[in-house]
Amino acid sequence: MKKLIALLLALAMVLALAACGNSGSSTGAGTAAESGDKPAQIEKIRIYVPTSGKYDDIDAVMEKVNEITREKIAVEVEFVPFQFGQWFGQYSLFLSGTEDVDILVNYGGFLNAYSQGACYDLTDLLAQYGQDIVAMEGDYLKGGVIDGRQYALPIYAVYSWNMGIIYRQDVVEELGLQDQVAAVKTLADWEPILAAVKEAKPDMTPFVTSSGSTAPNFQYGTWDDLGNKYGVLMDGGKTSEVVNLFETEEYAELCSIMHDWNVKGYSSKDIQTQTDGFTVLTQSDAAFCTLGQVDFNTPFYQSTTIGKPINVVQLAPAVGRTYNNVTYIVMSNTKHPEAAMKFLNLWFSDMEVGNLIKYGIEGTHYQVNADGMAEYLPGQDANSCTYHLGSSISNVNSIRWNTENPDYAQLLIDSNTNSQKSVALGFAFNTENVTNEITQLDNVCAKYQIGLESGAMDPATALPEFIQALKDAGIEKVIAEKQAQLDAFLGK
Amino acid sequence: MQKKSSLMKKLKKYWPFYFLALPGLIYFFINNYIPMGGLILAFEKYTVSGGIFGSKKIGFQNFKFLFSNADAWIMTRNTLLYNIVFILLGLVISILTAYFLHELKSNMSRKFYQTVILFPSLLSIIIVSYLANALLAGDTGFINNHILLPLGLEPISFYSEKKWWPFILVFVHFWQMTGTSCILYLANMSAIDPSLYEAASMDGATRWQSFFNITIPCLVPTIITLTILAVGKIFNSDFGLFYQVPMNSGAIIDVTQTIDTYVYRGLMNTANLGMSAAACFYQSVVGFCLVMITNSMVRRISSENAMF
Amino acid sequence: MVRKDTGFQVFCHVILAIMAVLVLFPLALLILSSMSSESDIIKYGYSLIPKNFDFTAYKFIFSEGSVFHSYLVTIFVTLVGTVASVLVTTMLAYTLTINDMPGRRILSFLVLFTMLFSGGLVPSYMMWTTIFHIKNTIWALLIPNLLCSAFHIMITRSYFQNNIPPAILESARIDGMSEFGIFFKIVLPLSVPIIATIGFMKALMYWNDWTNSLYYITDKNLVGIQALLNNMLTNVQYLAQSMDASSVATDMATVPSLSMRLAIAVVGMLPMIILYPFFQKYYMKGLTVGAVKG
Repeated sequence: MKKLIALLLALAMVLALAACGNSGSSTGAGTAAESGDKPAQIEKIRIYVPTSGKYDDIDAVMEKVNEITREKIAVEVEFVPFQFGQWFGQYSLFLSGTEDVDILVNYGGFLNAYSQGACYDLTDLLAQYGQDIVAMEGDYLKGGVIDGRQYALPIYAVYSWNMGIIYRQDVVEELGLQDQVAAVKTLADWEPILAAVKEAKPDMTPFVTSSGSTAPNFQYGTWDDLGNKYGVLMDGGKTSEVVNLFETEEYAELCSIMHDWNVKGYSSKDIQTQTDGFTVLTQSDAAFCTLGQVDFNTPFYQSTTIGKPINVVQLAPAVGRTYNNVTYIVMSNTKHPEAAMKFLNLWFSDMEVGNLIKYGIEGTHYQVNADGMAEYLPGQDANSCTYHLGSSISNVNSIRWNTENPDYAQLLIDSNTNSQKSVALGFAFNTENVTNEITQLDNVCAKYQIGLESGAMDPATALPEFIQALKDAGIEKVIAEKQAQLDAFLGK
Repeated sequence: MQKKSSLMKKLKKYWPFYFLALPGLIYFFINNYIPMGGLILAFEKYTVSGGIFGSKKIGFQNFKFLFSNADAWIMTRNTLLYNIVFILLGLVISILTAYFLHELKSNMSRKFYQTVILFPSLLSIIIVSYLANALLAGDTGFINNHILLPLGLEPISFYSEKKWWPFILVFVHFWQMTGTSCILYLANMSAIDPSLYEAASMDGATRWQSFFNITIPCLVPTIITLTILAVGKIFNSDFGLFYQVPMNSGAIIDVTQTIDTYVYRGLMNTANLGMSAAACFYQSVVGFCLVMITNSMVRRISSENAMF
Repeated sequence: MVRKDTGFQVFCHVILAIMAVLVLFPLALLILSSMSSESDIIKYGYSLIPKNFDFTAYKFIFSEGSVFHSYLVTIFVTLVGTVASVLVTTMLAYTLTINDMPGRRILSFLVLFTMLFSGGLVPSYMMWTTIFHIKNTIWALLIPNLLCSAFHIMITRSYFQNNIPPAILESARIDGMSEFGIFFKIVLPLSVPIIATIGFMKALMYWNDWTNSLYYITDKNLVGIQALLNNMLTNVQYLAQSMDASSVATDMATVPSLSMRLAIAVVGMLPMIILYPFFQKYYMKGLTVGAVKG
C-alpha cells in the first residue's frame, strides 16, 4: 500500500514536471513562430540583468517593448533576469563567454570582464548610434574607457558623493542634540553625540557599519580610490599623486577614532563579524548611526527604505569619482553589436521603454497618480504585483516611483554636472602586470582591514603590522604601476 | 593465434562484468574526463575569443601567486595539520561511535541516537556558521550571555582570539561529519559474522579484546580505503568550514587560512580563471602523488587492500 | 558477565547521550531563534526561551508561492537520483572486485583519478549546455557531478571485497547462474547495509545540492528547495547590506534578516526530518538482514 502511494506520488510529480516542461516549450514555440512572420532584417538580442524585483510577467512586457524597438530600431530584445543571489553565483560563468548573450551588466566594475577579453570595443558604435548616451553622460562616460577605447557604458547614476555620517534624525531630536549635530565638522566631533545616545538608549548600538562585515568600513572614503584601494588620490582627487592610503595620517586617525569608539562601547564587540548592516539594524531600532556614501539624495532614500527619519553629516564636499559600480558591456562574442548599441541608446533615452522595463505595463503593473508618479495598482503591493523589474540603465529615463524624491532627476543632473571632479575621473587601472601582488594584497587586507576600520583592532599595534605586511606583499610596485598608468592617462 | 583465442575466451567469460561497469564508466568519461581538457586553463591567460584551447599559453605564470608570498607556509601548514587531525581523530571518533551504536541492546534508543547524530549533516555549512555565531558572538552569543556572564566570568571575544579556533574548527567539523562517517563503519560492523564474537567470548575474551581482535581487523579494509581517499584530498579543505564559520574574521586568519581560502580571498575581486585553475591543479597534483605513494605502500603490505 | 555488560550498556548510553545533547542543543537554539523577533535577538541575544514568538520570517518564506512546488521537485529528484546512482555505483563497484578481470586495475585507477583531478566548472558547464543541452531540464538536477562519485564506488567496492564470501559466488556459478543473476540475486541482497548507507549519502547529496540548479536552471518550475532557499538567503544578505542607491528600493521593511536565515535552515531540513523515520525503519531492517546473512 505504502509502495503504491509512493509510486503514485512519483508518477504525479513526473506528470507535473512534464506538464511544466510542455507549457514552457509551447510558449517558446509560439514566439518562434511569431518572429518567423517578421521581416528578416529584425535582429534579436539578449540581455542578462540581476534584479531584486518581480518578473513573472516578463513575456508580456517584452512584447510591448519589442513593439517599440521593432519600429524604431528594428531590434527585438529578450531580457533574462536573475535574482541577485543567482547572479553573483553565475557571473564568472557569464563572463567566460559560455552563454548566448549579447549584453551583460556588471556590478562592481567591468575590469574583470575587460581582462578576459569579454568586452566589445564600443568606441565606433557609440559615436554612430549612441548620441543620446554621449550627450547625457559626457565626462562620466570615461568610466568605461581603457586606453582610449570605450569598453563599457556606465549607467547614469550618482557620481558625486563623499563620506558622511548617516544617523537617525528622530533620535537626535528626541534627545535635543540638534545644535550639537549642526556643529559637527569632523568624525572626531561626533563622539559626544554617541556618548549621549549610549547614555539615553541602552538598547541601541550607537555606531554600526554600513554593510555588515562583508565590506570595509571606509569603502566610501574621502579619497578617490582609483578602482582599487592600493594607491589612492587624497582629498577626492585634487592632485594626481598616487599615495598609499594606509600610510596616511588621515587613515591612521580614522582607525584610532573607530578603535576609541569600540573601546568606549559605542560600537558592538561583534562589529567585525556582524553580518547585518545599518539598514536592517535600524529597522529594529538597534542602531543609531553609521559611516557611508553620502550624496544629495541619501537622507531621502534612506528614510524611505528604512521607514524612519534619517539625516546625514557630510564630512567633505561631494566629488565626482573614478569608482563606478554598475556598467553595461556588449559581449565580445556577440553577433549583433550594432543592434545591441542601438538598443542601449534607445533604452537610455526613451522614457516609454524605460518605464516599461522598469515598472511594466501601465494599468496592469502600475498606475500613474495625480502627481505624475508611479505606484502599485489598488490592492497590489510589492509581493502581489507580477512585474516590477526595477533595473535600468539610467536613473532619469523613467517617471519616479511614489516613494522616491519627486525632484530626483533634476537634482541628480545638477549634482553630477556641478560638483568638483577628481583629476582621475575616468581612469581605469589595468591590473594585468600586478596580478600576483594584488592576490597577496587582498589577503593581507582580509587579515587587517575590516578589523582596523571597524575599530576591533588596536591601530597602535595592528596598523604598523598592516603597513609592513602590505609592503612585503608588494604594494609599492602596485602604486608605482598605478602612478605610471595615471600619468599616461593624464597625458604627462 | 593462441593469444587471440585466449582473448576471445576472456571476453566471452567477462563480458557481463564489462556490461555492468559500462554505465558508470560512460558517466565518468562524460562527466569527468571530457571536461578535464579544462586543466589546460591553468597554463593560459584565458580570453573569451580564444576559449579554453585557443587562449595564450603562459607557462607556469598562473602558479606563481601560490608560492611567492609570506602566507604560503601558513596556509600549507594549516591545511595539512587540520586534515591530518581530521583523518586520525576521525578514525577514532567514528569507529567508536559506530561501535557504541552497534553494541546498544535497545533498538529504540539506537534509532534515536543514530537519527540525532545524523541531523547536522542536513544543515549546510552556511547555516552551521550562523549557529556557531549564535553560540560564540560577543554581545548576543549564547556562551557569553548565558554561561560565562551568569557564572561571573569574563566574556570571551572568540572571533578575535586565535587560540580557540583550532578547537572550534575541529569540533564543528566532527559535529557535522560524525553522523555520515559513522554509518559507514556501522554498515561494515553489522556485516561481521556474529559467530566470531560468540567464539571469542567462549574463549573468555573480554569486550575490548574482541573489539581489537575481531572488530578492528574486519574494518581494516574500510579504514585503508577511506584513508587513501582522504590523503588524496589532503591539500583541499572545506571552504565553508574555514571561511564561513570564522565569519571571515581577520584577527584569527593565521589559524583559519587554508589554501582554498587564500585562493578565494586573493581571486574574489579578479575572478581569474587561469589562476584558480592553477590552484586546483596544484592541489590535485599533490593529492595524486600522495595517493600513488600510499597505495604502493599498501600494495606491498597487503595487495588485496590496494586501490589499484 | 551479565553485570559487566550492563555497565557497558550504561557507558554507551552516557557517551551517546552526551553526543545527542551536543547535537540537539544548537538545533534547539536554531529552531527557537528562528521563531523569535529580529529585534529581540539583537537586544537580548540568542536564547532558548524567545521573549516573543514571531513568525514573520516563516511568513516571508512561504509567501514565495513556489516553496511547496520546490519541495516536490527536490523530493522527486532525490528519489529518482538516489535509486539510479545506487544502481550505477554498485554495478561498477562490483566489477572492480572481480580479481582476474582484465583491466581491473586500470579501471580502478581511472575511477580514482576522477576524484583527484577535475577540469573545473567552465568546461563542464560548456559541455553540458552545448553538447547535451540539459539547461532547464530535469536531467540537469540529476546528472552533472551527482550521479556517480569515485568516493562512493571505492567504499562500496571495499565492502563487497570484504563481506561477500567468494565461495557463495563460486557455487552459484557452478549451479549455472548467470553473472547478472548472481549480481542482482546474490550480491545485492547480501549488501543491504552498504546499499542503505550509500543510499543515505546519495539522498543527502541530492537533497542538499543547489549548485546544479544555480548553473543550469532558470525555469522557476524546476528550481529545487535548496536552490530556492539559498537564493533567498543570498538575496536577503545582498539587500541587507546594500546601501547602494542605484539598485532598486524594494519593500524590505518587513524582511528580518537574522531570524530569516535561521528560518530558512529549518524550512530546508523539515521534510528530511519528517521523512527520516520512514527511511530509518528500512535502514535498520537492512542492517539486521545483512547481519543474519553475513
